[in-house]
Amino acid sequence: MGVPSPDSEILSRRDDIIAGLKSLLPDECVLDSLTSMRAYDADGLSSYRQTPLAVVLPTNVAQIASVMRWCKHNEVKIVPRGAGTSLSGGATPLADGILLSLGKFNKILDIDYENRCVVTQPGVTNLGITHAVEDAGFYYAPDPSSQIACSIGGNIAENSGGVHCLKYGLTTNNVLGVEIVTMEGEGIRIGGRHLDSGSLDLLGVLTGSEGLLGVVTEVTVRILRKPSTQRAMLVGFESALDAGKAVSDVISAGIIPAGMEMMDNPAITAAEDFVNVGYPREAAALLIVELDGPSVEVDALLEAVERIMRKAGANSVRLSHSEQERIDFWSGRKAAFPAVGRISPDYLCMDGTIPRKALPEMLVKISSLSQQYGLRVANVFHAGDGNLHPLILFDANIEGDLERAEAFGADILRHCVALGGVLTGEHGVGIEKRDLMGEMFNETDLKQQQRLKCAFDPQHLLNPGKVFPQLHRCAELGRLHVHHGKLPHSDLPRF
Amino acid sequence: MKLLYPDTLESLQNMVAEALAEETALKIEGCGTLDGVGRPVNAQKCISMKNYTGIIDYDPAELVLVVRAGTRLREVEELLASENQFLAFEPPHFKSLYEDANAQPTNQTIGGVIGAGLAGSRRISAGSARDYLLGFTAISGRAELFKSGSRVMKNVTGYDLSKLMTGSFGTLAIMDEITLKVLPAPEVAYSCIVPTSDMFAAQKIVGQIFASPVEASGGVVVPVEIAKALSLDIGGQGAAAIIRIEGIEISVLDRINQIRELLPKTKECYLLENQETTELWRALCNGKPLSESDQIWQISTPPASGPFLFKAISDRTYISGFLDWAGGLVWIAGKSENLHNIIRTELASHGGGHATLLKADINLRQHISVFQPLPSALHALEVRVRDAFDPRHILNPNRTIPAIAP
Repeated sequence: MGVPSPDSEILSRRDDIIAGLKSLLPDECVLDSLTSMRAYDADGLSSYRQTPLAVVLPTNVAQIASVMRWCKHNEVKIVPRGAGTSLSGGATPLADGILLSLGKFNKILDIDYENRCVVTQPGVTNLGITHAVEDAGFYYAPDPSSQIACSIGGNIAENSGGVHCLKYGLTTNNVLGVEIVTMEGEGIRIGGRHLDSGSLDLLGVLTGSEGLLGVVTEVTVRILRKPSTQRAMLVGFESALDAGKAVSDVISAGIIPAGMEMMDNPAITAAEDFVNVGYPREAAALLIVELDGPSVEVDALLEAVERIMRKAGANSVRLSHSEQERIDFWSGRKAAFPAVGRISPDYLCMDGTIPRKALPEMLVKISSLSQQYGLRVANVFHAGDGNLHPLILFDANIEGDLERAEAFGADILRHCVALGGVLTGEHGVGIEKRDLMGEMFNETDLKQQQRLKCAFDPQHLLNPGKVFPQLHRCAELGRLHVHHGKLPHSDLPRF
Repeated sequence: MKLLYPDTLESLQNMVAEALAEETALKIEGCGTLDGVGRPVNAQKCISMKNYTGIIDYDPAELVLVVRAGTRLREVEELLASENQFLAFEPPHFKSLYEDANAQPTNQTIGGVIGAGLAGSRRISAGSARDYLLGFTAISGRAELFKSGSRVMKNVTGYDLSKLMTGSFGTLAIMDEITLKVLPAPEVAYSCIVPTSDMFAAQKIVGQIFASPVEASGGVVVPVEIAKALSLDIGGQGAAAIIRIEGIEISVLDRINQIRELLPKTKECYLLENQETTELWRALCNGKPLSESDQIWQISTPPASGPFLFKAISDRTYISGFLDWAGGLVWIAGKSENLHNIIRTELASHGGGHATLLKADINLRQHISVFQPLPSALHALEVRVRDAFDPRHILNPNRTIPAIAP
């Protein structure tokens, strides 16, 4: 892992670049002093800091387009940034690039209850959308734990999930349209208030593209009516393996809860110390299961889930009887990261996904790796969809601890892939998992993905150094190795 | 046209490699059910995936199904039903639209469903084919085998090429294995039929229900002649709202009561139970009431615009049709040679969206835009994206956009 080494030729042009940007934007929209740029030198992956050439904070789409055109012409790299909460280094600045903050794009443009959608600027927070529509009984479904801070534009970039995506899907399943500005400085609208594109699904591929394809300047998301009843259940297990199996049993019974989360003992203890809401401290694992819908349905399904849990070996079951109690049940889970932050000077949050049935095996593996590396780990899982968040505890002040934690994390992710899973479920590849991409994809797969990048940004100016372990020049990627009737794979037998 | 029938990955890859070396255009099809969608393909050879079949893996507890692209939709649906699961996006069977309306069984393939990005009435609540394709392997127009995605529910590793493949009509790559997310099938399904004076009144009811916590899985507005074609009794009224409620029985009955409470006192709500509901929605998804027509369009527009768009078009020419997706999918059948112009101009002034010519004779499909014309910057971007997968335009050239010389 690491940030790419800067291009000294670009660094030597810094004064010209800043002057160029200032010719395009009002002075207050360009930050170039070390002090003013300090707040932007890292995102949520804060072990990696780098001061960009300059930070620009445009206030309208025309300004973004002019900056991008100028950067393309002058071959200056751009790192787009929403709220900077990425856990994978998606918005880590480049020393030889500018940081483009969408922080001033913070207005909701239209609330359309008739078509059940909201049109918003990308800098509005995820929770800000729900707040804008909750008086009318609506909400925006994807709910990453950082929803109070993370921006909807960043959610598009990362295809963010959350604890309720088991039933309601990720960002990609809830976004209807975007306006992007391409590296050419062209504004392009994709989708709108209607469904699907009637053409290539570029909206689908932009979502989760980690800011490598275009800068999102407007977003249309669908909103849902709040379910009439939401109730949660806290289930304690003496064995984490039993809890893992219980998760599979619920899904196998044909029940898709709104959310199904798991925490292991270190996470339970840390969370309970932090929020004190009555999590069972003695439990080896805790499941939080939420059902929503009409109250008769929720009650019937909770009963069914409780039966499954008891059969799987649960030794404590608590149901929420009020909205406050339900919120309390979730408070420990939602605060799991800061809670763990109190018991360790530093932690690294991993994000692999595995098939649900492999959960017990994965738990055993993580525990043995923990011993091997001599580092503690607290596990928080979106168990219902097999998405793991092991938090590896370390102390950056101890020489070599960060490197050991990263190696531990990489081993966990390799094991996820070996079990038929993936490197990242919702946090993105960024710089954090970039060098592990080869564990999941071969060279042909990666080259095909980079050809898509070339269709948007042939000079690799937009957020380079993220996602792909090795950058190939687009001309090289486009070359076809077929000449004068000679076939590729000529060694293969013919039909 | 020379027909090729690959049945192994190796034979498929070789066929594409050979076409690439010769710069020969290939028509790509499953069993040809959807041959009538899109512009006609001019090709010297046709790769038919009809023998490229087989269930690779089905893991009901993981909600995952892996099949080869030529596997029949019917076979997949039967397999899933045996475990009380289903494809939640409700892919339509379009055989009846293009061939004999009573022809059975359909040979429509999963590859075709994904390639055309099909989704039925549950699109509005459960999503489309795009939302259920977890991953795939495919041979690109560069004759290279590549993969994207995985078989887990939550994955953001690399670009989500599954979205790009869905609805690409075989113009980017030929799919080998397809991994789908499946879901538990609902225990029961009921339909609520609410007769109304006209389509606007019906749309108002559908809109109200979809803005409530009822969680309907389908919302359709039909004018009287479509109600008749579906054998629905709407008591002499001009239109009807049709709402589908699915889930466990106790919940479905409770939600039907909620619907009754939402309705104005003067409005009645007739119920159809399981079997009738299944048949009704199958007919709606498959466009059965319009299947006799020679020219059929599907228009995606903001839901509230649906009835206005329908009215604006019918004011200019004789059409029949109905609204699905809670108003957001307008089905239109007509005869006018100018229908495409009427649709495109009225769509532009009534909420926007996109219109696709779903069925027409080959002549019309060759000469008008079958798909929504794109603004120039977006069009140019799409062409570059296609080139990234199929630089020599050997896969289904002309199918979605007029062919240009490689």
